[in-house]
Amino acid sequence: MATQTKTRGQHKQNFLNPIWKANPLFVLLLGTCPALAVTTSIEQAIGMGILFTIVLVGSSVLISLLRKVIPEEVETPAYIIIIATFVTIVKMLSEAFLPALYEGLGVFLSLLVVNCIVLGRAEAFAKSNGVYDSFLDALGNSVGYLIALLIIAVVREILGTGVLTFGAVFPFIPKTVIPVLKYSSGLDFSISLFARPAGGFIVYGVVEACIAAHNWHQKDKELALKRAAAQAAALKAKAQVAGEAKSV
Amino acid sequence: METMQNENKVQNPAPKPKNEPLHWLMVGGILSAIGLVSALVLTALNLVTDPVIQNNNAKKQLAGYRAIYENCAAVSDPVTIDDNPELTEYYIAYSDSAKQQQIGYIYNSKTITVKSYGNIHAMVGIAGEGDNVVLGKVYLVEDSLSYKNTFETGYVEPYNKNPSEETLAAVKCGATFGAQALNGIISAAREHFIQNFGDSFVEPLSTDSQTIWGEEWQSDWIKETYLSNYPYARKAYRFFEDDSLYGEWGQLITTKYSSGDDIIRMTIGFQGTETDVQWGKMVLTQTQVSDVEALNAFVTSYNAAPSEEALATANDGSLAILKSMALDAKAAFVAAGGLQSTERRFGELESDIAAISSPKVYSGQTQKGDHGDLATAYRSWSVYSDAEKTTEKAKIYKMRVQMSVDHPVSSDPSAYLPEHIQSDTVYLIALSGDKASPNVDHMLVINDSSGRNKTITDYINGFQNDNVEDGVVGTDATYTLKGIWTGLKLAKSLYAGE
Repeated sequence: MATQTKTRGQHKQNFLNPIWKANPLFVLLLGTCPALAVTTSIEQAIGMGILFTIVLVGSSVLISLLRKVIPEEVETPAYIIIIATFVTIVKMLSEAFLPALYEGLGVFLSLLVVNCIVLGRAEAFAKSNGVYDSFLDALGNSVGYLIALLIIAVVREILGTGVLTFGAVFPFIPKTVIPVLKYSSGLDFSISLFARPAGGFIVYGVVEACIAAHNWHQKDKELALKRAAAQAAALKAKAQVAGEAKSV
Repeated sequence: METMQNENKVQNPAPKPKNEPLHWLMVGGILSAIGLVSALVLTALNLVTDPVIQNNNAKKQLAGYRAIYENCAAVSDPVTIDDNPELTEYYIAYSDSAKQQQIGYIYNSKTITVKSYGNIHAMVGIAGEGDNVVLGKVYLVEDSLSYKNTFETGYVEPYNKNPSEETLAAVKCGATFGAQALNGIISAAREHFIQNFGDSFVEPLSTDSQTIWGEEWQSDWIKETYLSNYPYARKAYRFFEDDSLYGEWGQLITTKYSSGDDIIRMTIGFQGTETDVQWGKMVLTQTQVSDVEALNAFVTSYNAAPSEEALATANDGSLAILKSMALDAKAAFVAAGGLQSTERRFGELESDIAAISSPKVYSGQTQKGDHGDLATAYRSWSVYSDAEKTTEKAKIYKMRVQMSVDHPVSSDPSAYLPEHIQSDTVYLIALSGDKASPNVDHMLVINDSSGRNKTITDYINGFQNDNVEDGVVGTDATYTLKGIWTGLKLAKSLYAGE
């Protein structure tokens, strides 16, 4: 029973760790290039996140399944074939059924073949772990990446265009434009810089700074707790010694 | 990495001695098998997605065609255009999927790079018959200009609302370079249409101008402009008063009627403004109708006293058509804003002008400056505050300064950067008062093709009588403005002698 509980905890960690503690974009600083390029709209970021999930989960599961079959001499070429297959699949499917998303993502969709998160998870995890663990790890990384893309995209779309647009990429969503900083009366507080790559860097930098500040705050808190615990232990020991002396 | 801590390492069995060739065969086999499975999966998926993708592309292309011709149902196979810097191919657009009803042509442009601002790629609609051009809408296949919004709202949208020569020419929209590039694409499409689907008639301009104006004009003082979207008017020939090509003297508008074997080509002259059109004579350049005699007789009677009223009697047969052609030519003249004469600008130099004298035309009145500049005086006018021309308010001089010089010149050793300065400025000067020391009432730029356009325009248009020549030093357009002073000195010397 104890072993089973431990395993469940490990599974949970495999899924949860990449979402926040080891977020591929915000903590490991991987996959930044497409993140800056495709986060000009929320829909595009969600689209990229979903396609990324298909590629990462699919390739990780398959690599894990074949981990005992693939000879170590051709591991990397085999992984690249598998990843490229999944990338081509999502490319074909998006071109056929989500053409606006396909056009919006452009070359960055093809570049998933050499994305360091995808190749990194294959090399670091899937090739030496079971299918279920690899699935959870890939899903966790994908969700973490999707959340990171969304955070940047929300800020950039609002600041860069002044509106939130839905239905431009996904044809099944009714086209809706929600004015936030730009109104039909002519009032426009948007800053077009944020729709450009430079704006992406600025938002990414600010989010990174916020995360760093949060981490430092957490560390300070932990340190303070440790100090308080040490002080309490010292006081307790002191009181114990004093008590013993009194009794003597 | 913390995830490594969670890894369930696969325990490899103890290594066995390898049969090398067999091992490598197996390695190659496994890799090939993965590749083969991958290829099979992708092939199968391609069979499903390819028709959808083809359908999407066709829909997208049709959407582009429909942005140009709303009722477009099909297009012909593309016809490649060779050796054209702007165009790649054209299609014939049809309103029915059986491709029986032709509605016009769609020209596909190359991807044009607009300096460092980005690219545009457009499809242009051109319709009409023969040399009767009807400009159609534009569809932007690609627009990656950094001034995309300004370009599209300032130029493309107004043009698409009303495709015409006027909206085509309005390139100064805040994204001038992009607008000029699109203007170039549309003009190239129109030129291709005229050359390939027009006719080979050559307008006898020399004879026309002799008959209509009474004198032959220098061919390099004439500019040709296509007229689009008119039933009869085809081209406007703008006759300029000198080689500066600013200051129109008159316009000839060519018209054409064709129906079956019947053809009438007529050219008519216009002067005046859009609100006060002065009708000129007309000339028949081609007549292929049954009542040629009546036509010739009517033209002779019209030319005796050209006016709109003189057309009133032309109501039957070819005469009615000729009248429509003349009125269409007038409409084109009015739409272009009438004659853009030099005299129309005088109101910007002097207020309350009641009368203007005939121009005094100069020949060889030039003056060289010290900085490779050459000032030329073209003509002058007296402007009066009374209609009887008794009280002269000022004399107005039309000047031009052309400069081509390497900077620094030997006379200016303190200059720092080697630069070739080339400028060409046409401007007006209004002088009044004492002959020996005249007052410079105003100066006005008509055209400036230097690279310092704003500085020069601001200086000339804001010129004050107490300005001194040394004041131009350090203005960012020192040499050209010194040339402007050379022109001013020449004008003053002419004023002193008159």
